[in-house]
Amino acid sequence: MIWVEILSRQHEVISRQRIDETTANATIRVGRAFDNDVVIDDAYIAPCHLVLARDQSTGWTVQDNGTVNGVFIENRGRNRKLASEPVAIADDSIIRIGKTLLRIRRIDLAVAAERALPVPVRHAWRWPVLFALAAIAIEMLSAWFGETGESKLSRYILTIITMLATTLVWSTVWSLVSRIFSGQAQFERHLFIALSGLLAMSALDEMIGASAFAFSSQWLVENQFIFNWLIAAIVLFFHLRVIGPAHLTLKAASVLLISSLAIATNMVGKSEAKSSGQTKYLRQLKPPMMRLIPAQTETAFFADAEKLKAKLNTARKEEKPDGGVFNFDFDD
Amino acid sequence: MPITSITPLAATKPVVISATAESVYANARPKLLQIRTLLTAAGRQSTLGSGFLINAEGLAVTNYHVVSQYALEPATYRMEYAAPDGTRGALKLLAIDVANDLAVVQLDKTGYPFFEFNPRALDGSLPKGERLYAMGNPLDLGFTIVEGTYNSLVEKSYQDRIHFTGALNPGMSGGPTVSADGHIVGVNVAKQIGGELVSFLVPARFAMALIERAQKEPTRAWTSPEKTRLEISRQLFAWQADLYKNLGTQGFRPTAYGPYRAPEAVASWFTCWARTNAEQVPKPRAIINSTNCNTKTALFVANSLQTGSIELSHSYAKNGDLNAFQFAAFISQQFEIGWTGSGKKNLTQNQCVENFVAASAANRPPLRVVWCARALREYENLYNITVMAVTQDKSDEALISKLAMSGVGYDNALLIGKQFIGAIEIAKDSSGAAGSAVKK
Repeated sequence: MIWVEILSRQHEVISRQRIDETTANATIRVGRAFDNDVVIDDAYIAPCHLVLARDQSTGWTVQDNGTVNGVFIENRGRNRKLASEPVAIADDSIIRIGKTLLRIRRIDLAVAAERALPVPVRHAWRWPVLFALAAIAIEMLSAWFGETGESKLSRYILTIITMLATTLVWSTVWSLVSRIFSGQAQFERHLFIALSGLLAMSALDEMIGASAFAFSSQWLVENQFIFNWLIAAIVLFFHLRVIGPAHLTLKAASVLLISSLAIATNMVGKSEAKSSGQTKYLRQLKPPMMRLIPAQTETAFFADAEKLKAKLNTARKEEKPDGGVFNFDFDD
Repeated sequence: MPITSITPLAATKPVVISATAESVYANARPKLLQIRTLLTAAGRQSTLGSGFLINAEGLAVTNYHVVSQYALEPATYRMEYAAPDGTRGALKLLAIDVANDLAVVQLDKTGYPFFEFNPRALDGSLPKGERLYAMGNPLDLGFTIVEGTYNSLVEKSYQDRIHFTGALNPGMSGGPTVSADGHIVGVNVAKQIGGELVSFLVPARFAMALIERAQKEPTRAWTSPEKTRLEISRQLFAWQADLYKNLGTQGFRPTAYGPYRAPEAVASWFTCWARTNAEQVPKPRAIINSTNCNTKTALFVANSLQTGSIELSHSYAKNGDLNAFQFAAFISQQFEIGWTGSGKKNLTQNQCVENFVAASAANRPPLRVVWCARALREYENLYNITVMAVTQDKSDEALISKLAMSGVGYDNALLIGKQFIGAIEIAKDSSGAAGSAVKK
């Protein structure tokens, strides 16, 4: 007795057929004609394409029945076309005839031990919900702190809806990608990753705003995009890891490459924006008690201001005026 | 009112309102010029102005802004004159005075009749209301004489300018304004947009001084734009040195803004306006009262560059029902450097230093100060500089003070900036309460 499996391209079993070799006289015929033991509807297969035979010493042999397209044995990623003599096949070999994949299973093949069912996770939604609430809370607080006129409830609600909708769409897209490549949607895990990213970005935004004032550092605000892209890279990496645990180094490298490219593009954009005369200083004030660095003396401040003179004189010599054609001047 | 309406008086009896105008114009006609700047490549006029002859050697006076294109870009433009009798000829630039918007040019011919200066105008003893006659070629419509009155010097102005009540129009710039005896009182220079018949003249003494200078150093190389820019830089630098010396000497007067005292310029040539948001609907959640003072000192250097003005403003904000973060966001809206001059062509990019500045005395609040500066690209030693400070002693009220200086020397800006920032104080009566909140 033996099982013949027909496999998909991804080597998943599509169908499985049991054949009693006693009735088949120790040979099994595979082909398109109805007098075969295994009948396959594949136009690239001969009426009788191959013959499987029991071999006393090696198990089973396979033989090409003189076909146009031949028989291939796929073994560990390699294809081998058979000559017309019988060839012994290993247990895990996959046979390709026409556009169909086949595999022979002996009945005494050892199978893996029974796997215990996963313990039902009762609080699978606890962290995503907590993270979502935390991200919403941060955004709401930030919107509220920025409120200087009339409060409008609709603005807060719209922010929440936008945040949640974006996260849901994002996670759904990743789930679909997961479903396509790994067969499992894993929506919960993708949602959790997306929410973690959202929370990290919201928290980072607030932290940078606060520390820029606390440490009087315009640099932090100007370069916030670096941190944002790093968070995005981490989020992307985890999404990719959920899809499949293979090639993690490659995935990490490509994600890092993408975020580096994005950071570089932003840097170039920033240096171009700078020449358009945008005044660079910290515009967002915070309550005075948020200051953490010691204040300068007036003398030290004006000494710093004095140092700008040399920089400006250099800029006067080096900067190229980019007045347009005919020296027309449209800006400001 | 339509200009063509005829009064019954005029209709019945032709009364000559001023026979003087006729004789003044008849005398002046051969001494007048139209001055044109032409685009050399196209041979067409680019700007038009007027001028007048001042001696027998063919020296004439006009405005700097009439000849500025030629002065700055002699390779692109050329200058010519057209006399009322139709003769034309080339002009040579001899001297400029950017601060008083004057230029002296040399005709290619000599022997024309010329104007003389009015001695009463030179010593400033003209009576208010004296009849004056402005001449020039407005809008290229032909030479014109306009009757008006002398209204002494403009008050609250740093530069001496005669207030002439009469219609000056584009194209008359650089033309002469004379008294009834035909002697020069001033040079037509500008009119007030939004006013009626409010026009300005450069006093005759500046024209006389420039002529003397032009005669002393007759052969200047005005054909090199670099040298012209150097000369303009030198004039602007000397002018701003006087301006800031004057400002510094007159100093700042402490003015109360809530519990703060902030410096306002003593000099009379600042015009101040106040503004509040208290009347806004819906009722604002924090009140802001601002004062903005500026000077009308901007000088014309080129079509795209006017420089030399000073702007000073204070905004006092008092919290209503906002929390500390919201109030900080509210004052952030006022914490704007704002306009710092136009153009990448004229100015380098803005560079700023900013920091927290500690209170240096019990009556001084801790501040956050921003200093932003741009250099004038083509005029060395001159900068556009803004210094801005916000008080950091309280979370429910704040004073935002700004001082913007255009076309200033760096050392002057530092000097006045220090004086300005150093004069932001906490008023004595509230210093007890505020002093304890001061973070050092």
